[in-house]
Amino acid sequence: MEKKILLQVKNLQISWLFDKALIPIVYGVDFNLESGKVLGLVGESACGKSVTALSLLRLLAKELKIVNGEILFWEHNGGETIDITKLESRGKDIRKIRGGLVSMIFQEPMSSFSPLYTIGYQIMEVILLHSEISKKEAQERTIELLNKVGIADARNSFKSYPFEFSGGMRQRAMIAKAISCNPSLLIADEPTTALDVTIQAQILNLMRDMQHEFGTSIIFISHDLGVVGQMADEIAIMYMGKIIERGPTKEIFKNPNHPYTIKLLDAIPRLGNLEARRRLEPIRGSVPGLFNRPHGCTFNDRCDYFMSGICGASFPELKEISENHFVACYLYG
Amino acid sequence: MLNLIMRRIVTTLVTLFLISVVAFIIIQLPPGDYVDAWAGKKTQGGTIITQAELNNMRVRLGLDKPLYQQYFKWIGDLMKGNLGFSFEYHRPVAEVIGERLSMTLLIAFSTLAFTYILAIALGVYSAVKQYSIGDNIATVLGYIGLATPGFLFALILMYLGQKWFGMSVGGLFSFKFQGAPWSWAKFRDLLGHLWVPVVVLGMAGTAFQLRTMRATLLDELNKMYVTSARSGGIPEFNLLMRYPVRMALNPIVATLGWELSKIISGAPIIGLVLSLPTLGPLYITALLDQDIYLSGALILIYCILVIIGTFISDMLLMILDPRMRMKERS
Amino acid sequence: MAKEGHIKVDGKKVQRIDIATHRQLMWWKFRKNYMAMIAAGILGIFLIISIFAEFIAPYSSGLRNTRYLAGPPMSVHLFDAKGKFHLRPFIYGWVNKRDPVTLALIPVVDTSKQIPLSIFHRGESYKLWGLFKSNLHLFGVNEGMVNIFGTDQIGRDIFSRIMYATRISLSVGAIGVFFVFIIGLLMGGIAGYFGGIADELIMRLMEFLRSIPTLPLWLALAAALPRDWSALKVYVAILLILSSVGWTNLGRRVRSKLLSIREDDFVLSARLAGCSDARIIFHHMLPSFMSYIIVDLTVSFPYIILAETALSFLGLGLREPIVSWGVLLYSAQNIHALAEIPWLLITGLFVVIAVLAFNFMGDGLRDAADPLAK
Ligand SMILES: Nc1ncnc2c1ncn2[C@@H]1O[C@H](COP(=O)(O)OP(=O)(O)OP(=O)(O)O)[C@@H](O)[C@H]1O
Ligand SMILES: [Mg+2]
Repeated sequence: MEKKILLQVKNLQISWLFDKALIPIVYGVDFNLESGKVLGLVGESACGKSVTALSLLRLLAKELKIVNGEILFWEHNGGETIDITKLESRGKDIRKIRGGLVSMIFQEPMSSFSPLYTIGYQIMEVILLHSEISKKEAQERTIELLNKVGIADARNSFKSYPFEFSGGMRQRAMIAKAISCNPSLLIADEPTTALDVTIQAQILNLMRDMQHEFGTSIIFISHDLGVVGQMADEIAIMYMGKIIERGPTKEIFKNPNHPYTIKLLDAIPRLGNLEARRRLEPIRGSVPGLFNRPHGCTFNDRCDYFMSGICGASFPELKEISENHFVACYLYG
Repeated sequence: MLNLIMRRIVTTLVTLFLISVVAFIIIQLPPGDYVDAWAGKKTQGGTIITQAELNNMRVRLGLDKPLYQQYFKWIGDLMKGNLGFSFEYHRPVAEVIGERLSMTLLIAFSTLAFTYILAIALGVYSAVKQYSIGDNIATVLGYIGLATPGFLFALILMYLGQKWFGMSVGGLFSFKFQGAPWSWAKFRDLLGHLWVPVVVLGMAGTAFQLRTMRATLLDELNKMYVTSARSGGIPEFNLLMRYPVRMALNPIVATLGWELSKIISGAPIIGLVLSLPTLGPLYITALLDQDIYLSGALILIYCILVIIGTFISDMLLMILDPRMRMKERS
Repeated sequence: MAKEGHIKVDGKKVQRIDIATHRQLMWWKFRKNYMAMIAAGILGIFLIISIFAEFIAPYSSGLRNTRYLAGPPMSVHLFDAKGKFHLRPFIYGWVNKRDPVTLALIPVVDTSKQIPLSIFHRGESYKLWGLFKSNLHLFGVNEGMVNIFGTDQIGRDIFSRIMYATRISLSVGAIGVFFVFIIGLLMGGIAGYFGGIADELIMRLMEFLRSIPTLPLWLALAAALPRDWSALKVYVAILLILSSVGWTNLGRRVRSKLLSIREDDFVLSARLAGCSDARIIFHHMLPSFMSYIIVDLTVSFPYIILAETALSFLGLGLREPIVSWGVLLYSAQNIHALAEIPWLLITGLFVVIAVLAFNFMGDGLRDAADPLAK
């Protein structure tokens, strides 16, 4: 099958406009996503995963600005290429993409529905916006979707309010809403973080099923490399607003290169580790705050391989070290 | 729902009973009684009154009986819809209150409507256009509105009206319509006068609710569910109205009863300054003259209005917020 | 795009600061709240006026300028009619002329006569705080009287009266807030700490008090005060009336705070360590929400001042010879008096400024109590 690029993000930079000063949050993110593939975006809390995800749909808060970069989106059936960063964030063009071509699932299922309307209404609203069908048909379609994502008694659940649903059910409903218009891209921002482990597995299975059935591309965001490993074709590791390593999933797990990636993989508990009674190695130090971004490589103060004079000077470029495997570290080249 | 309303009515009746007791105690508090106050005025005018006359009068008005008997007679009459007799006006209280009650209600509810419509509209504007010139103006006006006592505002309007237009902005009717039968022209005249007390009475409340609306809406705008709804591609205006604005209505609707209470609180003093044909000025003179059945009835009316306001606010909340409905159902 | 520390966003040039410390952040936030600072300054001035009213006011509150009845404010000049500069500020003299229409005597400015103001003027003697005898005033004139805010119908100096009224009105606010504090803390404390029946009863009482419109209730209570009471007795009674209704907000806050921290670890450990109830309340629980209480009290200050002003304005509150802002406004009640002497409304300006200042300061304190909140 020939490769079809769906999304290309180039040197994306996002800053927080704080009382006339710009504080960088995302500092250069690059990746490509092919049609029908799953990209895993991994990083510690507060590294800018959600901000990156939101920017893809221009959903950033008012005080956050895209200061540089391109987000290119290939609309396959119409054949047009859109640079999302150039669109008006509250305008008509981006609204056509939202929900229709690209949709999103959020981190907290508890608060991503308004408590004032029924689940059914909130899903139906999106369907009615993006297709020319009657209310009745939209309602039927919503019930069908709720059924598909495994909500029991979908017809009654249609009339339920979000607070009558459990967290897992809400996340299922969120998935139903997200796939309701057959989007070409689904952005899932930590869809399972707030759920307990069994529910987590169910939701992951559901997403995989949906992906197989509809051929949707997914950007799957998580801070858990283990979870991402099960889902993704390709993985991008993010640290303090930058992608520091990117490559096919197998390659990343087998042959991690960046010191941070290596530490992250070490931190995953595995049966093998338990048998060897090896202690889980936490990463030394903690993520610096937004206001104390280190000079040079942002990981330099926690890195075991710190090379003075080199790592403190400037940030290393992403370099391709093997096919499709990119690393930003002075240790390699 | 019906069950709920029944329960509300029962608690309301209990509250009303308590209020009636308190009202009766308060109006009995001043030393002496109506007869003393009356005699005081008469003797100042030079009339000589004997003790026997005073006692006769007390017997006639029922003021010689023990207090609890007076209370039960009063409350018993109230049940029968008889508000008692005004000593000062020599007429039944119901008659004295008469048209003034409808004018009071008109002003109170117009003010409430004015307050909420303006506060919601400006609040939404201010929050959506945070730190814009309009928002800053609304904020400054809000602060001043909260800090200016209504009567002072009324005085300033009176003064300006007098100075610039050489006319009084007080009253609810022009001179030629006072006492005239209702007609279209009289109604138009009323509307022409009504805005002054409505603006004066509503100023503080509008300022307060505007601030609440702005603050809650600013909070709501950043909530996840708004971004989530936006990610579905809903047009911005519909999104705003359906999601965050409707949510932000909750706290200001919840305080509707309280707001009405504040409006009613301000009414007597504004009524006096603007010489309105409402209950307020009547209340103040009744208190000073110890016209107890009149002032007692007026306190009760004020409290009933507040209770009605709270009731309306609860009902509205239940319409607005399904969580309230569920809570009440269980 | 990013050039030399500056960057363009939405067409506006802004500074690019990649590394900013936490303290800088707080300063940026603080900088926005200069209104609270101004408010604090204004309240400081009001406080000084209240303390040194006798010194700042050129005359006592009852002294009449019988030659200047209902006189307009006298403006203080540095330049005379010919444009000549005088180092010492002066006022013009006036002559009483008969109005050709109404035949009333009205004062007219006479620019040919200049009366210099003297600073630290020795004038009417007084006893500061009833203790120290003195006759020193901030300013005054040697010839006649100076009335920079004009005079009322019977010739009393409005500026001096406002100075004394500021003292009274603020004292009503302060003492009222103190009463509110005591009652609110007691009732809220009992309800929140002991719970059960006490809580139920107090909550009902609060609800009941809140369901009665406050001003009508205050009016009824104030009307019940005997007419022959002395002004001082009335003063105390009004304070009690105002605070007897005003404590519910604070009470509610104290109760809910107590309920939420009652189960907190540090209270539990204090109880396990055998502390008495009173000790737990006053030594452990109170300090942990003092900042909220301070904010609440700052906010209830203006309510009490406004309530007193309203009552006195109706003639049901304080009475002469005690003058408060409301007592001063009482004479502006009549539209005819107002049309003739609009400067009676200057008092209103003081009320508005005081309430504004309290509100701004309350907001500032609320933010300061929580510096990292958005
Ligand atoms: N609206 C905002 N204003 C200011 N700073 C923000 C805003 N939104 C996010 N940030 C900051 O941007 C950084 C990245 O936040 P982001 O939510 O993208 O993290 P994340 O990687 O999704 O973390 P998590 O795993 O906790 O979800 C954080 O330091 C956060 O404080
Ligand atoms: Mg996130």
